[in-house]
Order: sequence, then C-alpha cells, then structure tokens
Amino acid sequence: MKALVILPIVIPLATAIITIFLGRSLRGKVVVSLVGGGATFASALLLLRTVWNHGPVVHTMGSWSPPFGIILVADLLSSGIVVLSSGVAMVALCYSVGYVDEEGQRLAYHPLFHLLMMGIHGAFLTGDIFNLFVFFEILLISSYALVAFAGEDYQLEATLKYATINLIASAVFLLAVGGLYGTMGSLNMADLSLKIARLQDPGPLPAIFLLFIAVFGVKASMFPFYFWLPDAHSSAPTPISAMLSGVLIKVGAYSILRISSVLFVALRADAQGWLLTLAAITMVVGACGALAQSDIKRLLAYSSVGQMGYILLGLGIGTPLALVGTLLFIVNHALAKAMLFLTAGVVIEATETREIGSMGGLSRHMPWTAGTFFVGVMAIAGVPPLFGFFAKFLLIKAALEAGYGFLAALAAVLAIATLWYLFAAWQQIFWREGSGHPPRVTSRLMKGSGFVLAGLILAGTILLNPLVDFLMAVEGQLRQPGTYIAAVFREVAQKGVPPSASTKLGANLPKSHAVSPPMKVGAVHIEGGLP
Amino acid sequence: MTTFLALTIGVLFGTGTFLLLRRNALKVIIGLSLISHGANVLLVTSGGFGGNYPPIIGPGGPAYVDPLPQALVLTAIVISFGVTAFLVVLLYRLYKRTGTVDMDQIRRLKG
Repeated sequence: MKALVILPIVIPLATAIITIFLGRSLRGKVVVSLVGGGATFASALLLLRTVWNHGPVVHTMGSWSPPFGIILVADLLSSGIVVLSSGVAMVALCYSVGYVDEEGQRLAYHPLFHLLMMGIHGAFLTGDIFNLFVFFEILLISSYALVAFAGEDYQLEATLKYATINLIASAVFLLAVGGLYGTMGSLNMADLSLKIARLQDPGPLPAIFLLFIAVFGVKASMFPFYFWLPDAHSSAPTPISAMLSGVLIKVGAYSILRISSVLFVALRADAQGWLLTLAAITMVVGACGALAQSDIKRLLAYSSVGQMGYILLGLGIGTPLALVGTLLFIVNHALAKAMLFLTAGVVIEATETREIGSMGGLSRHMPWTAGTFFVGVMAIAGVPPLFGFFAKFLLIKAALEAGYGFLAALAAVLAIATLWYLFAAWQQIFWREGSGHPPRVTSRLMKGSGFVLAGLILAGTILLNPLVDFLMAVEGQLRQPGTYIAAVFREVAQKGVPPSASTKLGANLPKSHAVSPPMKVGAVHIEGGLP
Repeated sequence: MTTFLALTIGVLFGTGTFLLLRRNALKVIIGLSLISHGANVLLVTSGGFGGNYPPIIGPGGPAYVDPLPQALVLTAIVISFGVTAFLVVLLYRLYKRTGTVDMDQIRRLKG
C-alpha cells in the first residue's frame, strides 16, 4: 500500500523510457503512451482512495527514515491534485495524438510528455524541500523542450525567455534551500516544521520564506515575474499550452500552499501583505493584458495570469473559507483553461489563423465546439450555475469577512472584466458573420478531448456538494499540519533507527558518537546557528 | 576562508547579473551559469567549513564537514549543466534561423 505513492511518479518514468526505446514505431509509441497515461491516472485515483480511507500515506525512499532520507507524502491535498493533473494530462495526451505531427510523435514527444507528468507528480508528492527542487527541474526541462517542440522562431524565442527566468528562479531556490539548511539543519518538511515551531527567534527565516514565495511565484506567474507566461503558454503546441496553463502553474500555487501550511506556519503573517498586494496587481495586469489581445492563445494565456491572481489572493487571505474557495478555483481553472486551450487549438486548426478578428461564424459549422468553448468561457468567468461561480463567490466572501473590502471589490470588478473579454472573444469567433468559406475538418479526437473536459465541468457543477465536502476535508487537513507530521514520523517509530545509516557509517564509531551521523549534523547546526 | 568565499559568491552574482543584462543572448547564458555557480558555492558554505576535515565522522572525534550540501551541490551542478547545454543548443538553432544573437533583433513576441 505504501508503494502506491511512488506509482504516479514511476509509471510516467517507465512509460517515457519504453517510448524512447520503441524506436520509430508510431503505433507502438501511441499505444504505450496512452496506456501509461491511463495507468498513471488509475494509480492516482487508487492513491486518493487509500488516503481518503486510511489517512496520509508516506513512503521512505531506500528505507532511510524521514528526517534524513527522502520521503514521498500523499495527503488529501497532494493526492487530490495528482488526480486532477493526471486527468487533465490524459485528456491532453489523447488530443496530442491527433494534433502533433507524425514525425514529432515518432521522435521525442511522448517521452517528454511523460517526463513532464513525472516532474509534476513528483513536485506534488515529495516531502523534502530539495527533492522539490529536483522535481521542479525535471518538469521545467521537459517543458522547455516541449514549448520549443515544433522549432518555429517564435517558439525558440519564447523558450529562451521561459528558460532564462526559470533558471534564475532555480538559482534563487538553491539560495533559499541553502539558507534553510544552514539555519535549521534539515530538509525534511515535517522535521523542519517541528524545528521551526520550537524556535524562539526566527532569525533569517522570514527572508528565506519570502525567497521561497518569490521562487514559487515565478512558476505561478505572480506579478513581477509573469511576463514569460503569455509568450510561453501561447507559443507552445496546443496540448502543451493546456498542460502549462491547466496544471503547471498550479504547481507554484500548490508549493506556496504547502510551505505556508506545513513549513512556515508561524511566519505566515510575514508573507501575507506581500501575497495580497502582488495578487491584486497580478489580477489587474492579467485582465488588462487579456483585454488588449487579438490572438486567441495569447488572450487565454493572459487570462491565466489574471486567474492566478485570484488563486494567490485566496492563499494570501488564508482563512479556511478562502482556502476552500482557492482549491475549488484551482479545480475549475485546471479543467476550464485546459479545455479552452484545447478547443482554441481546434478552432485554429479549422481556420488556419490565430487572430480572433479573422475568424467568425463558426457556430454554424461546428456547433458542438462552440458549445464547449462557451462552457469554458462561463466557467472561467464564474457565471452561475457553473461551479466557477462558487469558487469566485467564496473568495470574495472570504475577502469581505477578513476585512479586505477593497480586494473583494477588485475581485468582483475583474470577474466582470473576465466575462467581458472571454465572451467577446467567443462571440467574435462563433457568432459574427464569417468569411464564408467553410473551415477545415479537424480530427474527432481533438474535438472529443474538449467535450470530455466540458463534461467534467458540468459533472463538477452537478456534484458540487460532494466536491466542496471533499475540499473542506482537504482544508481541514491543511489547517492541522500535525496530521501530516504525525504521518511522517509514524514511519520512524515503526522502523526505528535507519538500518543502512547505522551499518554503513556508524559501525566503527566509539560509543559516545553512536548516533546516526545525519542526526549529529542536525544537532550541530541547531546549537551553532549559522555556521 | 568565510570572507574569501563571501567575496567569491558576491563576484559570481555580480558578474552574472551584469552579463544577464547584456543584449547578446550568449552572454546572458554565460551569466546564468555564473549565477548558478554562485548559488552552488553558497550552498556549499551552508555545510560549514572546518579546514581539511573529511565529510564523515572518523574515529578521531567529531571534527567533520557536513556531507549533505556537497551531495546537493553535485545534483544542482548536473541540473544546471543540462539546462545550460539545452539553452546553448536552443540559441544555436535561433542563430541559424535568424542570423543574430542580439535579443533586440530576435524579439518578435511582445511579452
């Protein structure tokens, strides 16, 4: 049962390796890739069920017990978000089979896609802060290659920007990890949480916390660091745009949520002002940017920036109500934005243009696609009865209750702006008098992918009560990091002293040093402060 | 030793930042790798220094250097090497397509 945690990471890795070695066989690659994607999704569902029934599942890598070795932890939040991301990835993968040209699929598309999935799931499931860095790099490197996949000039340029800003962020991430390890002498999140809670004087920790927020803010397209996003997300091949906007930017939001709810619980107030201010600016910038776009994919990308502002706002407010709203918002945005990108890809394929102004009158030729896009527009804009409305409503209500009247008003006004720019785009693409000549026929697989996600949004709306109940349980677990920490250290209690540590390094120690070495390391740092 | 390393880190970050602000994309990539080196050196210092001590506790006593940051830095070096190699290839493709490495001339997307 414990091995269940590694499945969402190992299955994509195995699939990637197998698809590399399948050579140039297109059919074989597609079949293995789809089976691997399906198996990942199934393992994620199984993991979520286990966590729901038996509480957090912890797996120690290589049997090195928690404070020293790397652990993977699945609580409700991480297993839930893995289900969400592997589901969206599965749909995007089906879409890719119809979208990416055969040569690309014969080459490296499928391995890269599965490595991206592996990195994302690893980042969600890891319980070790340096391991988080490693999984971030895995997902980033595969996403660089995927954004530049077709090798067009604009894709190369977008990737250069994307990689540059994220490489700087990685260096800053290392600085923060170094500072944290130098101060606290541990990298395990649960262990750090205990140690930080015991501190009298936080010392440099608030600064380190803000460094982490900035690093994750780059991934989550927070205000000063958002400018790579519209280029990268709009230049990438469409299924990759869906993955980037649907899942990848949520990794940043998830990481902020994770470190502020487990690691730096005591210091949360230090970051709150920054988070709220930057979230408000992000919302405004995203909405203004989207209003000015005439390219459909850039419009959707800017809309992602604006919507991330809402998610950051919820994280900044941090009350239980706000967090439930944020989680609901993450689910809604992941499904709806992925679906909008996929459907926009269908429309672009059909009309051979990305300019909204040159499209028009498509509802006559592709009524189902028009309907799907409409559901996405309404879900992102938050129009009742779709559950996007309840996500925004909860956020605004939480802002009002926490005394941020201005932010609540801003969020409400920008929700109307969102409706405006998305609905205007929909109306121009599908309703207006068209150019007359019928659009090109697009593959059923691509259209079907959009329908599946639209169906999921409608299902979420119908099953809103169980969904919100589940998210409240997630939030309840987040509010009590004790559950997470206890689950991690139950592992130690069962195992005792790590066997490999005592035999390998500690065997010929004199009695006075007969503790396992890494524990000693931790002790030295705690007593000595900064070395 | 600590002062010397602090200066090294400062110089690496300073030079890296200066190079990042150049228009020549190749210099930007060199600047990026300098910045990652700066971060790596800083990570090494977080393990503490004790002169020539080994990274294991020997029979002679507790004088040793924390081995973990060195393992972390090794991982980080490999990662930054991989990303830098990817960026260089990317820039070479871009150079072949556009005939320049000047970011102002490459620039088509509006950010």
